[in-house]
Amino acid sequence: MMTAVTTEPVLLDVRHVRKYFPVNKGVLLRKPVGWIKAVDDVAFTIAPGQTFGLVGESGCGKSTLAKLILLLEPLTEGDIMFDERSVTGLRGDALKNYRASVGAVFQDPFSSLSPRMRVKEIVGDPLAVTTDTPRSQIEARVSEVLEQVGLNPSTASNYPHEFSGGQRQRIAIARALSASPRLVILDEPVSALDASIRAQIINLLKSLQQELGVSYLLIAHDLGTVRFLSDVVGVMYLGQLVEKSTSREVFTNPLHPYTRALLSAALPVRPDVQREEVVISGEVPSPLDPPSGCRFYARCPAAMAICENVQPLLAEAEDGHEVACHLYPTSSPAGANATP
Amino acid sequence: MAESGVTTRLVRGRRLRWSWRTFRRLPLLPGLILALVVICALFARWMAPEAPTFGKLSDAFIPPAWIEGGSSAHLLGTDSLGRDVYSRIIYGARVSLVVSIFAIFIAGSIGTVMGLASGYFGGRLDGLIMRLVDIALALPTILIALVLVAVLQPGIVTVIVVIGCLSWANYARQIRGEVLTVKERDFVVLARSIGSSPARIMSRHILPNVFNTIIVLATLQVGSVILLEATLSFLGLGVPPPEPSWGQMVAEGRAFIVVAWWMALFPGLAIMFTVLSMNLMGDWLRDLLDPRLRQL
Repeated sequence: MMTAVTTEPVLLDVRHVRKYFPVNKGVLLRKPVGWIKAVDDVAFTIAPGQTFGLVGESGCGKSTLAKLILLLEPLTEGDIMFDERSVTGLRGDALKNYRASVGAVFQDPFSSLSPRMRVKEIVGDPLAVTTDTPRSQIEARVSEVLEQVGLNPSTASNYPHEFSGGQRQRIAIARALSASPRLVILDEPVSALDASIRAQIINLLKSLQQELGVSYLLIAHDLGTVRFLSDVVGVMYLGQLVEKSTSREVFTNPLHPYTRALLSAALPVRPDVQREEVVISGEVPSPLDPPSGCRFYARCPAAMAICENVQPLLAEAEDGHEVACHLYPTSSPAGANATP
Repeated sequence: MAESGVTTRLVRGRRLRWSWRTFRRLPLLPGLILALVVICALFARWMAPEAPTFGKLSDAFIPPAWIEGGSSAHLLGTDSLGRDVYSRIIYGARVSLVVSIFAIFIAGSIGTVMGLASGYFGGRLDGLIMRLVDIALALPTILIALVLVAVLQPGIVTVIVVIGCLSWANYARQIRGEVLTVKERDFVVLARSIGSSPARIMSRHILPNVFNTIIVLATLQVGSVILLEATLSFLGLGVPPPEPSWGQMVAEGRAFIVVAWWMALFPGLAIMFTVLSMNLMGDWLRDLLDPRLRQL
């Protein structure tokens, strides 16, 4: 019953998290008329030093999940445990420690660095805010992380506009690492970069992980990046995890029809090799009013009668491979993925 | 990829290179006029041939030097009390400069704080501040200034405070708009994610990125502040005589406009050229600091 993943020690434990955004109508009395279910009952764990890859199309709730972990938005339901402590009720020093333990790198290295701050101010900011490190030591630490990400520490007094896109993303990574976090959230870290630079940044992330032992939550729609970096992969569709397993399993033996379609849509490494082509039609349903049964029902090439009314739950279909689909009858009861 | 290329170019263009090209579009004549005004204000004692308050009644109503009856001792003639108009205009530059610098500093500070708070916190505070701005912009500025100056002790400090407190609204509205866009950018979101306090985010992350706007607004406002001071002085509520101010000189000249037109005309021209130059400089600075226009 226990998967290979959950027997390891757990750093981050996302427990049945939900995030609903209210939709208000009316000018004077703004009444909620509905809820956008951006994240709807998502659960997964990340082990120390491990990378969890989260894939899914735009608007499926990946980035909202990142915001929830960064405490930028309050949870609607569920809990997030970091080091076996709930992060939702943290106050004071405990909260500061958590903020220091979690770094983040965002997609656009132009928007994520203030054009009016020097590199050393940008990189040292998490240290200055989340720790009581004296100023002199902050400078030393800034030089250290800049070196780690492959930048010359003598450029610490420069402004971001003096760097190229790839260098700027290195600065963003240096900032995420400056307070020595144990988890770094990588929200589309290479999507805005050129293909040549992308490979450098991916390799940098990989070697930094080996060197520092940090965990990554990698959010991306680029399957190649996810495959290369991730140990465990979760596939999200419309606010829910539909499939979760080791990276190798998901990419070589996808079970969920949506995952198959997703993999089929990616450009193949060897275009001359014949592959199964899965084409899905239609649009993603509105998260405001998701279908009652399986959320993928209307677009699924393998839809059955049961799919329309009964929501499939994420359950182990093969050894260590969880999927939320009626195609795979499981012996385990619904919600088996809950137990850490 | 194409999109990020565009971003690259835009942001690269943000870099300000101080070279001769920076000044290529500097409006030369307005620049010279303003430099002259500043020099007059700073070195009035050495620039003016006579003290601004010195006058002999026997020398009253001497016309400008190039007109029949004029004297080379009084280049722009003398006023009803025999004071040298040229010297008084030079000393008057002081009042204009001091009032505009300090009044704009006050207006800018109030407006920046209000705009930052309004844009960053949003919600009810935003609604409250923006209604205050609407009220401030709807008030007849001159009428309110008149009432306030009349109630308070007249003098240069009163004029500064009143003008400052009446012209913050434009800053608040503009800065709020800027803050609304800046606060959505990733570097602000990241600053929030590490738990930075709102005060830290506003001062370290947002304020430096809206500073251009503040500078440009301040420059563009110098003109209207000088005019407002002149108006108040014209109405007898500005800087009390005999200390010279351009507006007050125009007011005094009004009574003698038929017999001594030079008394009102020359300070009037001083106001006009200074305000015009200041506005042109403001336009130049706005274009200079706006990356979209800088590459032109």
